[in-house]
Amino acid sequence: MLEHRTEISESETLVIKKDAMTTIEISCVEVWREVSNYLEADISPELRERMEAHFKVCVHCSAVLDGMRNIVGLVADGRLFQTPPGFHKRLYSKIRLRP
Amino acid sequence: MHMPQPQLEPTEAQLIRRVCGGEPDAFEELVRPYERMVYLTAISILRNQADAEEVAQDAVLKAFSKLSTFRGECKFSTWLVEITYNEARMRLRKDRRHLYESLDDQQQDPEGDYWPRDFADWRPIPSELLEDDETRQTLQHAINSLSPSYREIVVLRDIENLSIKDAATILGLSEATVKTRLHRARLLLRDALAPGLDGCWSTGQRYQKVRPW
Repeated sequence: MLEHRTEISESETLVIKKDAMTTIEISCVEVWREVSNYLEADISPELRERMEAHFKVCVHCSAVLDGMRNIVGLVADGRLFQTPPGFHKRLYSKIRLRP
Repeated sequence: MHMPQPQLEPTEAQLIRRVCGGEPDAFEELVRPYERMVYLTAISILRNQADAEEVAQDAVLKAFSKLSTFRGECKFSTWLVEITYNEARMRLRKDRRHLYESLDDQQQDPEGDYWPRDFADWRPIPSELLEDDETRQTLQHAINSLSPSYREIVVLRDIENLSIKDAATILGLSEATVKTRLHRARLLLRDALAPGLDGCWSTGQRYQKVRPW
């Protein structure tokens, strides 16, 4: 069990018993490396399964995932960055002025 | 026989033919859906509204002049953003004020592992908060504080919603490099905006409300 948020090390690997025959292992560091690709759905189904199992039991990695998902959602919102008033009109000014 | 997949929306292809056929007014209609992309691309590199507007004007003029050379090998929007990106980079090279920034940029190591600085739990942030000036400014400031190579990829992929492939084409990078930088940039943004960065969890104090959410 991870006792303190700043004390996670690469050697601390979470082991999840999937069933009697299979053990899926993935470390927090491996999860952090792939969390952006996970949001992009750009990972293998096998890795996705391992990460999902990890998120269920690791509050730290879930916090990293939730935070990143939040940020990506907010940044994509059209209200965050808008063009300045009158931009449309000025944008074509050099085309109109061409000889 | 292999046929190339058409990359253009029919309406865009028609508009391009009209402009090239001597109807310059159709150009505004062609560019209008991408005006915001052009502006954001320019300002993400230049970080100054006046410079970004001027570069945006130069970029659409260049796109207008070169439109007959556009062969539809990529989407029109990718082509337009690429022109804008190159114009902005040229402007930046002329502007010595940014030399310090590029030095700083080279010191980053995007290949090494990045360790999140904070593991505070995130409540979902409702998007209605973007109506609030303070929230918008906090997010804008975090994005503007990223070094250029991270800021550019966040703008292209997460703000303008271009694909990784299109972003890689525009930036002249491999898709793998774009993914690595995007990943790092998102982690940096997350850390910059994490509620726990107040340090309260390490000092045992309650969260102070320093973020607008």
